[in-house]
Amino acid sequence: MKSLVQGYIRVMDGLAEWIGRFAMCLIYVMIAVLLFDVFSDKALGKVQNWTLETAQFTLAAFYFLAGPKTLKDEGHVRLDLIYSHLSPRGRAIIDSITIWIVIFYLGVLLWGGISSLHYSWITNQRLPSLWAPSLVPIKVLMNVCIALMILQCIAIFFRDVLRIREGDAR
Amino acid sequence: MSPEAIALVMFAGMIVLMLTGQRIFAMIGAVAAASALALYGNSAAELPFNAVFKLFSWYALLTLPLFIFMGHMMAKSGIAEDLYRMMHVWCGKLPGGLAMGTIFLMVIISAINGLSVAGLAIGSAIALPEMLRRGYDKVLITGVVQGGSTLGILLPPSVVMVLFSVIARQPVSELWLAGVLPGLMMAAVFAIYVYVRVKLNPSLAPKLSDEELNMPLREKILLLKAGIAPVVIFLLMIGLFVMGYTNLLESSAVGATAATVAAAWKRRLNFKLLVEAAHETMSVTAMFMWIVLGALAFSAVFDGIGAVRAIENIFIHNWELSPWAVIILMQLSFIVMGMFLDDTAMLVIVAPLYIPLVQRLDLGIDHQMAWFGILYTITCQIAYVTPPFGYNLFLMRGMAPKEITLIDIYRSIIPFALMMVLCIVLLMIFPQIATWLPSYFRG
Amino acid sequence: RAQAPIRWRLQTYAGPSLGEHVIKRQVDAFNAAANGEMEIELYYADQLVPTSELFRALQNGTLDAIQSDEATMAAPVDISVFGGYFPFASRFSPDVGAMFMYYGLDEIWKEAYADIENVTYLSTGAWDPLHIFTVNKPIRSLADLNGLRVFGVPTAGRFLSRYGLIPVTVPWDDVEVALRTGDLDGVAWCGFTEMYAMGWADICKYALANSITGAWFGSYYVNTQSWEKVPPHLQQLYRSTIDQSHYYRLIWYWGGEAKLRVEGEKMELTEIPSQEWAQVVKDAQSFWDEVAQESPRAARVVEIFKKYASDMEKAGYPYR
Ligand code: NA
Ligand code: NA
Repeated sequence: MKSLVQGYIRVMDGLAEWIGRFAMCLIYVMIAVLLFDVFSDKALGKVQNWTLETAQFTLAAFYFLAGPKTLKDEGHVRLDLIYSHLSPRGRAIIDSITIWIVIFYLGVLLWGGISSLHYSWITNQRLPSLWAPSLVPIKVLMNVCIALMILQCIAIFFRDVLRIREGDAR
Repeated sequence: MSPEAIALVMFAGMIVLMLTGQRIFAMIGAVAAASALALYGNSAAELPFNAVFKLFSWYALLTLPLFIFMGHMMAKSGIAEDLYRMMHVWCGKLPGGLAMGTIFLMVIISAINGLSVAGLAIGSAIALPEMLRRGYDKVLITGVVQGGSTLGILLPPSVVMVLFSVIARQPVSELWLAGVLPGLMMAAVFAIYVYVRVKLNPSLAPKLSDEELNMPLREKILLLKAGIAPVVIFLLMIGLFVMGYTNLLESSAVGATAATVAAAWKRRLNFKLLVEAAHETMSVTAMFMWIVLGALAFSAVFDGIGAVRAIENIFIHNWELSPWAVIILMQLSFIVMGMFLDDTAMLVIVAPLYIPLVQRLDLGIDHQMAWFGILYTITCQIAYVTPPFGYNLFLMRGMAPKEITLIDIYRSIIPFALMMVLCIVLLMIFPQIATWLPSYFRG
Repeated sequence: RAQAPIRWRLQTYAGPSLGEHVIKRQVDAFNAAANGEMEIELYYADQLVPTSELFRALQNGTLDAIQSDEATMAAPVDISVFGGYFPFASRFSPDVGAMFMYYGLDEIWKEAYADIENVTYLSTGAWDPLHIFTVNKPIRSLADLNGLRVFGVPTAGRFLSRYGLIPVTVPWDDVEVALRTGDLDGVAWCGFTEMYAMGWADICKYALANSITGAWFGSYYVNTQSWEKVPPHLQQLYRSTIDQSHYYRLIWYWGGEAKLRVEGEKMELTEIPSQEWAQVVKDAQSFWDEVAQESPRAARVVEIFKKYASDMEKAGYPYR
């Protein structure tokens, strides 16, 4: 059982790391798109109507793909007024309970996300603009990322439980 | 339940959940999701997710990763080391010269990056060890670095002002212009403080030996070259933007590129730095954006129950407050909330309540929202350095040299937080300090 | 009777200042007349849900009612391109109502929305005309459109690009700044009333008197389940206040636009010579034909536009 759980944690961490590595590069995509926009507009006198929306999609992809890795790497802010005074084991106990509140939020996001994606899919929803890109691809990506974040939270839960058990054994 | 009661329950629930120490973004989001479902039923399940698409119309947010990237690139480009050497030689002779020079260094760093992190990193990695080695008082210089680095959000470019202008629907350029003089004023107040303290007690800052500073004038002047790169970056980024040649987004892309070019010019650019900068940008951006996402869902529900009208009723009708009393109360609430809350979350939650109200107040100030934005930015600076929750505090703990203890850090910020409050008071008495520059450029 | 009132959430496409005229009066009137039996809570643009998700939110019941044009919220129907500013669909604002009442647009609209689950279409009215406003480049001939960077509604932008006008995508909130900084040369987004109301008239010096269309089509929709829970007398009240809103808006825009053209001092009026403009109106026909290809229902709408335009020509003064 324990090795199964550890295996799960390893797989999730690996996945989060791997996706995060890929997501990192998107900052350079954003810079490139915007520089092209400046260059095309100021130097060539050609206005690009796809660059702004592309940058927006890239930013959304950037922070959604970063989601699992940021959870894993403790990248999110916590209010540590009380938390910082607890022992590692105390933190693990509290976290193993409150992580389910994180999962609840992500669960509602996923619920809404899937419902919203379903609508985009059947109505072929596009952004109301000249370029009018479809919203389906970005919504698919967001939903996959939210699901991965939930799986990562479960890995975090397991890790906390293992930590509590180790504490008990000692 | 009345709107006031629901608002109170939501707010209290959020504070309690955050006190558990779990990740803030999700605690805010969870309260939003739970109240949306409770108030509107299952059909509201899409509400938290929809926040993503609200962000699509806030394109100033696109500049966020670019400014974060630029700050990191710049901190690692070697520009700062050169600047420090210049400052060291030129200011070393003055009483408390290195500390005052550090404030000057922070002003320059602030002018080419949008957060306080870069200033803090540079200050604690380069300036602090040098000053400690020369026997400067550690509490004084820790305060200088902490307080000085917060100028990064008051002097343009500023990420905090981008977030404020996005939410208050104000032109970013106006806010950036409004921040220039208050930023310089605050730097001057810090410098005067250091000067006076050192004059009263010279042991706080031992004089540098003459041999150390002895160098031919030619070399001294050559050191000034260090200033060229920051000036060029500043002009490319802020100059073109304020003149209206590039828009905000374009200028942030130009700034990110310029910082990268500067790193290449200093021969610091390599694959490792590119990866590191991308990684840093990703984690900070993700942290910001997920808080904005949770807080936006929260404020949509808050808006939905009519909390704005409730607050307005309380302030204007129940308590019969004068416009100035309302402004002062808002600043106080910002300062208190800023102690506990992340500033982005604070802004996204409180701004929709306060900003419509401020717009309606008749204070007789031109560019009133820009002025209010500056007051708000200073309260964020205070929030950054005050316990229990402050970004600079967190970072300082990680970055400061070993001999600086947590107690030193906490003690060091008290005078600087008070000076920031003093600046708020000065800006309330003389709003022109903030509004003169935007009026001059924009009429 | 101590029965709790029926509560509705209505979100509009408009922000608070404009919403004051285009919807708030109606909601206030409805709430007063409903006498505590029903209460509508009004939300402005992006307040509860982002405008791009407006239709979806209505369908799943987050909202009970909405007021918007179909183009902005991308309604999932094959006629959404006509909601909002469709080039030269109307010359005057009463044309909109006339085409719905006498020429059968109302039937086509009902039919289109009958296919959509859980959404009931109620009514369409006329909004303001579409003009081009420029900061410092007056438009006095078609050639002046060439190279102008203009923020505007997508459909009109698509049409006007054939004259070299460059439609530029900027988020709505940044339009003012972009006009000031010269990033935009002008806007083709609204009529005079809104230019003044939004403060854009303070930045733009010139207004092209020729209108690209006389009025846009705005509509009311309700969530079907919510609608069915409302007793008939309140349904009637809601419909009546919609008509009241249509009436008020028609007059407010019609009279207000003329007043600002004559008395407004912030912008100078310019005109495109009538021969050149006649060519533009003719070009619109080919644009209509392009759109008619998109679906049989779109073809029927275009057919009505054509019939109506030619009837009005025949009717002569004062119709054309
Ligand atoms: Na700055
Ligand atoms: Na704080």
